Amino acid sequence: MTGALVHLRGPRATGMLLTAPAAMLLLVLFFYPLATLFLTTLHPDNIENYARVVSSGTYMQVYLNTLRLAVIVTVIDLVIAYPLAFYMCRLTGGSRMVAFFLLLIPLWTSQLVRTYAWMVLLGRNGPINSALMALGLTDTPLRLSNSEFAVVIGMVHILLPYMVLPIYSSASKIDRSLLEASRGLGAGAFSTLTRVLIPLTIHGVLAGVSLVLVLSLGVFIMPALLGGGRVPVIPLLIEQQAGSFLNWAMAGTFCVILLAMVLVIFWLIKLSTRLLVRGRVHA
Amino acid sequence: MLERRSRTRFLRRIGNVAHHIFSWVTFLFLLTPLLIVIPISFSGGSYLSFPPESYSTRWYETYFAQDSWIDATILSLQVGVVATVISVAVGFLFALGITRGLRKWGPALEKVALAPMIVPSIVYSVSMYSLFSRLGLVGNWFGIALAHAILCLPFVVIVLTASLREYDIDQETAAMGLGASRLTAIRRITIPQIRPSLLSAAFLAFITSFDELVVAMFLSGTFGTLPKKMFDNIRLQIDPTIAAVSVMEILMVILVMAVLMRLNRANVGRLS
Repeated sequence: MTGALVHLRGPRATGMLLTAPAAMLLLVLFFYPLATLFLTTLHPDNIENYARVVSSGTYMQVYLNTLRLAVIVTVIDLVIAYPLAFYMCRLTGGSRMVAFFLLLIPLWTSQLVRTYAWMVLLGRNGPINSALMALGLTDTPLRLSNSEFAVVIGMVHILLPYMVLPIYSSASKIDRSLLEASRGLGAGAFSTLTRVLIPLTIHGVLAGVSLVLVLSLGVFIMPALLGGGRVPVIPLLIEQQAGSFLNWAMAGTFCVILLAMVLVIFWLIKLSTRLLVRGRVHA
Repeated sequence: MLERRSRTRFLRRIGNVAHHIFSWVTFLFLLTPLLIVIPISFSGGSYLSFPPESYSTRWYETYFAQDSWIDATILSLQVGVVATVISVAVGFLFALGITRGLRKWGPALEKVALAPMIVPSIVYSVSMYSLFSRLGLVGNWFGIALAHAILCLPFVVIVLTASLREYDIDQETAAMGLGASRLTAIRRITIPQIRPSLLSAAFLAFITSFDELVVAMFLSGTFGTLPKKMFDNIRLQIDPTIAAVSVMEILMVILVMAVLMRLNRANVGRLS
């Protein structure tokens, strides 16, 4: 025993010992339950659930709708976050501090609080409708809440910081003299953007895109509260199967397919990052 | 030629102004929902209207007077603190391990620890429910804390590995060269210097647990954490009690953030 311990001395053994508690915790409380969930769905009693999901037009529609929503939210967040991240790089001292504060406070505030606030803002008698009616743009209040529009706004709001932060971190590393060089060599704003800025920030962009895509595929609170039952997404379906119908086997099958979707998307973005970065080195 | 140059300069200035406006409008978009709950929380009417017709503090009184709100808050605090302690303790050791001994395997192991971030929480909840129902842990607050610790771990690991990678390890080696054990060196030299990161990690972990709805919904059984109570309330009836709770939560976040920023700045000042 003592011999084995002496044998285990050294930085690698220390490293292994230090990582052991986290590794054990992850193994027992994360990988094991997920593996069990997967194996349960493969059980002969449950395996036909896969066929049921794939052959059902309704269920496949919900998967597609979940993906479509995630893509819409990701694109909007990217379009907003890209210029915002560059703006934050331009700021210095106190105003940069304020900008970070404004970005991080919403990020760290409860999602339920923010979703509730959007329910109020978009409500029938909410401030947005009041303002529109006061301006004479509409006579009757618009139905902004309980719609896909509301869900998209809520998701864009909640996931925006996850897009800004990675883009900011790659944009802040850009040497400003490169931009001046590009300008000095006669490049216009557009070609500076496409040939200098985007290639230099592609890492941050893809990191943000994969984070927002993956998170928005699993979003539950916004569709549940802002969708008003009109926005079918997989997390709601899973909650319904498990919570209302107590059909845990079916819920498990939905979970496995959703997780597979998330992992494939994650992997695809990783692959394209590698390809794009390598392509740039060769060019 | 001169005319063209002044035109591009003009266009650039326009672009500049547009960039300013766009960015601050976006910040306003981020902030508006948080500001809007403040007047609502002080509304005097019993239903939701904006702007409120009269003002009062009755919704704050409702919150403090109802045992169900207070119990849910205490439960969430309890779960949050335990999840934070577990995830920071385990995550700190993990970050030390992958930045010290396991340099080669570090990045791969770090990715494994980040995995809980990409698994949708509903998927994790369903899998944990079946594990906990076999163990009889559904409805046990400690079970929720354990599951939350897993969800907090990625944030802790990201913050602490980043800070330990930046930290100059020679200081630790020097302390050991002067006769300190590795443990003493870490305790006396390393930990004091990465304290701001430890606090940030703890804050992120606590917030993650304190806000978490889905796992708590599946694992809590009959009683509920604060997010579950809020979710049920929002679903059933929107009365401004939620707004009062929201304002208190936002204040808590701002307070802790201000303290953290101050500490971080003090730390930067000391190092430079």
